[in-house]
Amino acid sequence: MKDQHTDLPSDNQLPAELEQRLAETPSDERIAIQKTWDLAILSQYADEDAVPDMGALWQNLAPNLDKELPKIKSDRAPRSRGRDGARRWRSVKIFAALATALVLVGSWFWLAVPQTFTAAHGEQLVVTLPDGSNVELNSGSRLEYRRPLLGWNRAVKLEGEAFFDVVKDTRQFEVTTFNASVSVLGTTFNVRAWEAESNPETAVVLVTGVVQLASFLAPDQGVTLKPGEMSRLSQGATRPSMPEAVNNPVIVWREGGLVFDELALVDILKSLERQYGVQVTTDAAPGVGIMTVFLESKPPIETVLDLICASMTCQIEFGSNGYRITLPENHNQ
Amino acid sequence: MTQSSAHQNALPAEAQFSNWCTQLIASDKGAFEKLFGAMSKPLYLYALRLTRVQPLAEDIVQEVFLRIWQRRTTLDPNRSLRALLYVSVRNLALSHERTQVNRQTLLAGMDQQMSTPSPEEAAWAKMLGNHIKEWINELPARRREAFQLSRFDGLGYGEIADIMGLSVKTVDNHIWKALQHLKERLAAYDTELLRS
Repeated sequence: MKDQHTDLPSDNQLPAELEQRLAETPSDERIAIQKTWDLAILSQYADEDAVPDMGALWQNLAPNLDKELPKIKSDRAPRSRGRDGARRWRSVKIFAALATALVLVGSWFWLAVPQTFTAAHGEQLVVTLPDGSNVELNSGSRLEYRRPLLGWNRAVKLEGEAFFDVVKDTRQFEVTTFNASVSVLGTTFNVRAWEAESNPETAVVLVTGVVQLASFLAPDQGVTLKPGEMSRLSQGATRPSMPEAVNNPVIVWREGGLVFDELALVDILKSLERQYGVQVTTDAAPGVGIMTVFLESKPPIETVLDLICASMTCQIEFGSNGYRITLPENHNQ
Repeated sequence: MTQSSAHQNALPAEAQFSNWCTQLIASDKGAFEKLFGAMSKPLYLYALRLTRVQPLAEDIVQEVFLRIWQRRTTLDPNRSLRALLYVSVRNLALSHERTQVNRQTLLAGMDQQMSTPSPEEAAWAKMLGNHIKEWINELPARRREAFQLSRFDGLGYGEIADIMGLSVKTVDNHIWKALQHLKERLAAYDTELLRS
């Protein structure tokens, strides 16, 4: 390896796009850029000396290859718990009550105003759409759609997080968020899109079927997900991230758990406000204190706050305005 | 498995990846081992550039290969396997980076240790390489990443755009500006270097 350090590597081929740029560049400059490109590889050698023995890594890896892949929790599994049944029944009743009330309102209203559903803080809500598709709204989330006139166009708007179980149909079903559209034929998937978060993004996890995720800014540059994959689209981005397999598609909230995937403290607290229907304030700046929390059940709010504060040495107070989380000074640059 | 001694020219061609992809779908473990042999090192270096923590970079490489093998039957031969490898490393590295921020376990001095040349290898190329490394580190993070993927990993602009979630135009700009920056630094260091 040593002798190669004194020579330039033989493969200094330029990318086609760079060649094209250089073709339009004056010759002195072109040579300088080409030389720069050639020389830049030398910096890689400094790192290459630090490469560990990849053979040992392979020895480590090989025995694990044929272990079972963790199973994606099937969303088709029967939901047996009575609590869910009651919740669903209550939601059906809410739906029925809303529908009855609305029938009494004038027909212009019927056509002009979109149907909206909001899951209250601390609650989840199941909404059945005109085509029979089901939507489970996570706490504080809002779903909106136009009522059917001549058949329904299968389009809904989502603010927040929801799990969709879409009835198969030849017509496309479309979910729009603040920055993206998710289009499907018949599938089950989770959409998470809180516009008010520090790093707002639309994140889609697919459980069964096929979905497409695309930015409003570039509807033709979408990505197609396969079951078990996730893709994210940040606010202002034109292209969603390349779909990547998730070992455990995080739809934990449906099973009564609590999950924060690399969220900043303020966003976690906002989510806790929604989940528990309490007030939590903090002096933390947006984007500070990013962490991952994964709880299979929902412990009391105090336990969650203790857990969070243990990892950041922050202080919890309880007053007339709910909970207040104070960070140590050096944490909040 | 022996470590490949060649540098840049050891990187496999694009067609090789779609071959491997087809073989992986057919559960060909030999092909998987070849893929590991060819790509574990460049992927390790990419993970190291993103995390700057050696044990973490090793873990990431293992995890990425494990996931690829476990999900081999669902691979899509029409999607770039190479881009998938890089994007998986990237996602793992970035998620580690983000969760580490508040735990204050960042390993200071790691970088220094890596860029100190060992005395017996103090050839001019080594020294210049270390300078260039510093100059590359002056670039904004995204620009540096795009440039390194292009120069060190031989990825096309389209693949880099996919991996980083950028447009090809932006990748083109990043790499052009990175080269301009390096050219200026090189010129200030030794003008002779840039003449033919």
